[in-house]
Amino acid sequence: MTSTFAPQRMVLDNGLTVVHQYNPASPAVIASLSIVAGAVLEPVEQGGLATLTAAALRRGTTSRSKRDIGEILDYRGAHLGCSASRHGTSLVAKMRAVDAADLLELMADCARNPVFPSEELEKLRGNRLTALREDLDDPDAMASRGFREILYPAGHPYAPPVRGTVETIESLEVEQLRAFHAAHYAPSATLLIVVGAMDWSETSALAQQHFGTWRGSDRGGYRGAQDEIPDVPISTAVERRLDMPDKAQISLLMGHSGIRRADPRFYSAALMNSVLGRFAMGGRLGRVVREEQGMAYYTYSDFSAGLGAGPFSVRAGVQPQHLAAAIAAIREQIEAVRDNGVQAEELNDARAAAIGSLPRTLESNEGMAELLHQIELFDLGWDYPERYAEIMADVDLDSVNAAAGELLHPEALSLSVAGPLQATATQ
Amino acid sequence: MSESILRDLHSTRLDNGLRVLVRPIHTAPLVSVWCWYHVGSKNEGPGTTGISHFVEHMNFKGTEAISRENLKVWVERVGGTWNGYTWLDQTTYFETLAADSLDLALHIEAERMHACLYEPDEFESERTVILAEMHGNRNDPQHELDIDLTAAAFRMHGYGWPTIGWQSDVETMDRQSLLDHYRRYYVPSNAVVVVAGDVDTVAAVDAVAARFGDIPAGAAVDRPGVVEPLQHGERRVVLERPGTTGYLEVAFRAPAFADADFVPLLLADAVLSGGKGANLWSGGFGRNARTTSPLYAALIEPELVVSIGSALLPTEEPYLYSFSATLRDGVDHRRVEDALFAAFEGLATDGVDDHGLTKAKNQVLASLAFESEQITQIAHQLGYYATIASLEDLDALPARVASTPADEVRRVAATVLSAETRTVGWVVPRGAA
Repeated sequence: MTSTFAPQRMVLDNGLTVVHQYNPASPAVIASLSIVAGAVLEPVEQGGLATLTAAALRRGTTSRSKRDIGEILDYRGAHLGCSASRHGTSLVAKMRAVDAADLLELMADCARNPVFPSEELEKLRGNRLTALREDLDDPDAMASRGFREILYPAGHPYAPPVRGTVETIESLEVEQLRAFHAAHYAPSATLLIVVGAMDWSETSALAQQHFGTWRGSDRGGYRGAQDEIPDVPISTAVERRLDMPDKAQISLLMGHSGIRRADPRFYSAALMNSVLGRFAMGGRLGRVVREEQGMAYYTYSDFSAGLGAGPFSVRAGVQPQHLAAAIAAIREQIEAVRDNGVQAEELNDARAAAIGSLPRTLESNEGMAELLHQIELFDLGWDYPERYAEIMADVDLDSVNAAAGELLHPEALSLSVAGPLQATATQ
Repeated sequence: MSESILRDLHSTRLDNGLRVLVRPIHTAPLVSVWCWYHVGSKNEGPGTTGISHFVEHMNFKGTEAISRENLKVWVERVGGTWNGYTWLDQTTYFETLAADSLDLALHIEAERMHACLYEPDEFESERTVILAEMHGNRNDPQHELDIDLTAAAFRMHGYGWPTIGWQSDVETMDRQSLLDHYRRYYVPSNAVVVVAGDVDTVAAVDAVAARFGDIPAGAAVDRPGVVEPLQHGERRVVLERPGTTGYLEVAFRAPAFADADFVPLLLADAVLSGGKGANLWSGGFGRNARTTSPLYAALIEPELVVSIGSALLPTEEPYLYSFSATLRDGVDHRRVEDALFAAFEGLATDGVDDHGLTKAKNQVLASLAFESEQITQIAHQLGYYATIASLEDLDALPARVASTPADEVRRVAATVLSAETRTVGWVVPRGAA
């Protein structure tokens, strides 16, 4: 299944890493440029800076107007998305293979030479403010916000909202975007991944041509430039309930601190989580909460394990009259996995599902690019797809159940709900 | 520009009427199996709205030979993925999994066609799941607007009610009605099975025949045959409600996919806001207007809206061509409407120049290629169009896009984007937070 998996890699003199995978299945190419310039690098009072800086990359460069950039993309039917997350900024282009050379040149221009026109910042600012106000009317967004606030203490890099707040967005200035770009967009903190119907010689030549002359401070390589994220200890349970009386359904989030990707228990936790809240439509949680009790359209759990320890969380959308019962049922399932572990057959299913899903991931250029990013970011090695079945086979019942005992804390489950809470009293 | 989506396709029909489409594609060791039923929400009526979607839910709840759990577990155990959806014209189910598990998917779909259980307990519990799905959707004001606007745009035709149904119908639907609906429409002569992926054509056809060949053909299916009366004036929906943000939606009567005007309208849409493809499963509909498009210039550049997207969906009968906008804070709906209508008028009057038309065509052709990259998408497209139109029409799409002249785009835009046949919807936030 991985016979065609043969990525190429090189590091340019300026420290920029290039990774390439040939895929002739369709005449398309994905190029993804990841830069270690995420929201964790912005000052708290400049919340949203990384995301607005990223959004402004397409709004003009030293040699091109926003319209010029749009024309290149629109004439070719290509897409170029520029965004930032907690840990990074990414420019992702999707195009026909015949347009790849033009698009890589454009991508390099946007990443290297943005001018951040002040009128474009004003437009982006207005859009962002509208989006932040839309969140106030969205139970999912409000439940997520509450959950983040109770899980991460002030000062932790995961505490502030990635997109900023109305106050921080209103105060951002063009010079701050320029300074953020100058400080953090550096070739040595950048990874270019190209996947599709283009061969390595062309990718390497284009990468050299368009990114090779990029100069910047030495940030230690794509992996070396990543920030250290402090762990957050398991704390006591906190509840956050936001009444949105005009809404039809409650968004529910429960959880506590989780683990990072580098944690040796990562694979055990992943398979344990599959049994608890993923496999066959929500695992045990889905079976009880949705299939048996009919209390929710969806429910699932997640260990968000990245560079830092993201949360262990359970999400569900529930009717007001079912809220208390759904919370109890979720808690009960987590307790049961912690106390009694999972069954061998459940583990076998979860493991087989994980191993068997790899060919589907590798089928698409997008899936392949994401896997290559994971391999590069977490130093998994190019033989990772080959070793994956072995890695999974090594996760035995004892290690999964030990992980459940160590990583699930039903007594410390914090709760964030947003929606029509009052209806619970009048059911 | 890209190869025919019908390349190496084998099409046959079993004795019981089941249509079988097999397309070998050997780029990955995977196979995607889709089973399509030519029944959707347009086959319903007052009192039974949502019944097709309810049936879809019940068809995941266990069959005579496969338990509710195993319908999912068997597929995921081999690394597969599965799902299904109900839409206006059709209901469909799929599994994409390792190619050597083809028979597993066929077994599940054959069971689903004739042996679902509809156990009373499962039925009641699933009703609350569907109501939860409905209420989750209703948390989104744009979704609510779309439901109300669509209902206002249609007075007779089944496209007017939401696929999930009206709440009152879902609450009162009885098990026997579901069973009747299931038995009427889930018959081989009303279905298409698609197999795409790393398979041998002859072996795949044999495998389908072995699983489905003994299922009785069933009675011929009635088609609704409702023709929506002509619209003779603008219709309006205004939802004034607590919230923070204003939204606008405008919908026009659109031609069916097989209509000669569909492709010119697809290009008119590409000119106005950016080209999309024709794949309901891979999305792309509603994407924000492209930077160089007239709608970007008319609405986003002057800071009237945050986003403006459009959707022309391929349907069996005439549906809607719609535009949805999220308004910037403090902007009046009327200003957005005026700017939008002026942009429509510009296309209807001035048409599109050569550069604009080439750009629109490039976008649509690229989208058509992008949305047919993976076997799951290819299998979807084959089954979708075999159900609502024809494979020949699907195959001809790129060539028709490439050959459509500018005056056709202008003519169809002028015909469709008419003030007389539009339905306009506003969400007006009251007491912004």
